[in-house]
Amino acid sequence: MSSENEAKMESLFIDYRLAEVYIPFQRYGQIFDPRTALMKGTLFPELYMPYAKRTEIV
Amino acid sequence: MYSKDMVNLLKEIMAVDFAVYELALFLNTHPTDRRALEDHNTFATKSQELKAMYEKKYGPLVLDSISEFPYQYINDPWPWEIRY
Repeated sequence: MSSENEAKMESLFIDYRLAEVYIPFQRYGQIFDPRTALMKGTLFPELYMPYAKRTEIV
Repeated sequence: MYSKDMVNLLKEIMAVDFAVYELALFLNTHPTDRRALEDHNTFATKSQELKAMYEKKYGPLVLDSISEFPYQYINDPWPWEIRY
C-alpha cells in the first residue's frame, strides 16, 4: 500500500463515536382500511409519511 | 376475457392480503397484542373467504388450487394482461 493510501486510511480512524439509533416501540392504534392501506403502502397511519415537495427552502 | 367484477374481487383480495402481511409483521414484534391479533385473524378469514369465492366463480387462483378437467389455470388472464 502506498503511503498516500495509508494516510487516507489513518484519517478514517479518527475518534468519532459510531452512530446509534433509537426507535420508539410501535403501539397498536388505528389502522387504514385495506384498500387505502394498499394505496398508501402501509396499514398504519402513524407510518404514513409521504415525501412532499417543499415550496420554499427554510 | 375478464370482467370488471373479477378485477374488483382480485383487488379486494390483494388489499386484504396486504393487511394480513402488515399485521403479521407487527405481530412478529408484538405477539401478545390481542387487538392486532384479532384484526389479523379477521383479515386472514376474510382473505380465505374471498379466495374461495374467486375460485368458485373464476377458476384456480394459484398453482396448488384444485382444478376441474380440463386444467383450468391456463384460462385465467395473466397478471400483465389485466388493466387494474
